[in-house]
Amino acid sequence: MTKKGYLIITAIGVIALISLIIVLATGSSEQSEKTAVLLNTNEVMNNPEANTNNSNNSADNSGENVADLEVENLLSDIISETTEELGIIEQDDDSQLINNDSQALLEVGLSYSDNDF
Amino acid sequence: MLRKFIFILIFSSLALTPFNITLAQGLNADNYNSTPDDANRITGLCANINTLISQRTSRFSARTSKVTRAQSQRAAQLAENKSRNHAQMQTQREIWDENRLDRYFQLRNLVHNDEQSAAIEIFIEKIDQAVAVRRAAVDQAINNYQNSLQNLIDQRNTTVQSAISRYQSSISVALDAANFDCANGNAVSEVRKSLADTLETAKSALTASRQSIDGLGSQVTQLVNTRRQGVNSSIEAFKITFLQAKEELKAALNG
Repeated sequence: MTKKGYLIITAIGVIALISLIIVLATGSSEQSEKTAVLLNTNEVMNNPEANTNNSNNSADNSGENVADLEVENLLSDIISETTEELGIIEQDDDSQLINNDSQALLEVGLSYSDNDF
Repeated sequence: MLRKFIFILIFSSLALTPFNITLAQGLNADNYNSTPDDANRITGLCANINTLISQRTSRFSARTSKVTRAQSQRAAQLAENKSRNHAQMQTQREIWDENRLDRYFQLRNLVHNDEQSAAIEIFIEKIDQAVAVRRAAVDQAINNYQNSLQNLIDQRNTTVQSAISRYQSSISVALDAANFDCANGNAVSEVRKSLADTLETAKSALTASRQSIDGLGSQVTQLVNTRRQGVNSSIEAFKITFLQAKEELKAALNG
């Protein structure tokens, strides 16, 4: 066998070794997960009361948040009425309007100018 | 020699004649204490006083009508604003009512038992009542403002009319006096001075009246502030009631 042949065989061997390591590692991880699921299942089967309590607590928390959120939405809607209400009331400036005859009255006072006579 | 002196004297007199005439006119004008134009105008015062009075009286009437028109426009504008605001408020309140009903419907969907259902209905009743109380207070604040504003406007119109009447009366008396003095052949310069003094006094009185009522703008601002305080107070009371009802509702829904 030539030197080149030895190198090829060695390279194939290294690749095969690395592939084997990867396969073994993946299989170990999957097995761990399966084991954990099995352990959890066993725990649930052995202690069903504890699991029910956890579910109830989760549902209670969810209900509390929804109720609070709905009430807060209602608050924001109804409170915003008051801002719009005030806006409608104050949209006109009557303080300027009341003096609108002032200029005309000034001109009345100049109707009989002494320069005319 | 004598004949030569007489000739020079006569010639000099003739040569200086234009200058003498001008000098005499100047002295004459000084006696009137006015320019030739003024002298003509003063002389024209008595000659044309009836025409002048008629012209100025027409101008006065036209300007008085302008005041009345401005007041009518103001009344129309205020009425339009009031009507528009009322319509807008009614429309918005209907929208808000519908929105609130929608929220009540959503709240009722949160109910899980009879106690929560009762809490929802109590909450709705409290809110509806609080809204009604707030709206009544807001309407009262608006009505108070409008009534007070109308009082100010009535007061202003009365003051303006009185000021114009006093002005007209003063002018009328002054013109009658000038007419009488002219007819009696009084000195035109005196007639004019007396008339000018009276006209100035009448104008000053009218100006003072106008300045006094122009201060009503700040009074309107005060009315606006009072209305705002009334509305804000009702809003704050509403918020307190609403927050309290909301906490009670949340407690019931979470219990």
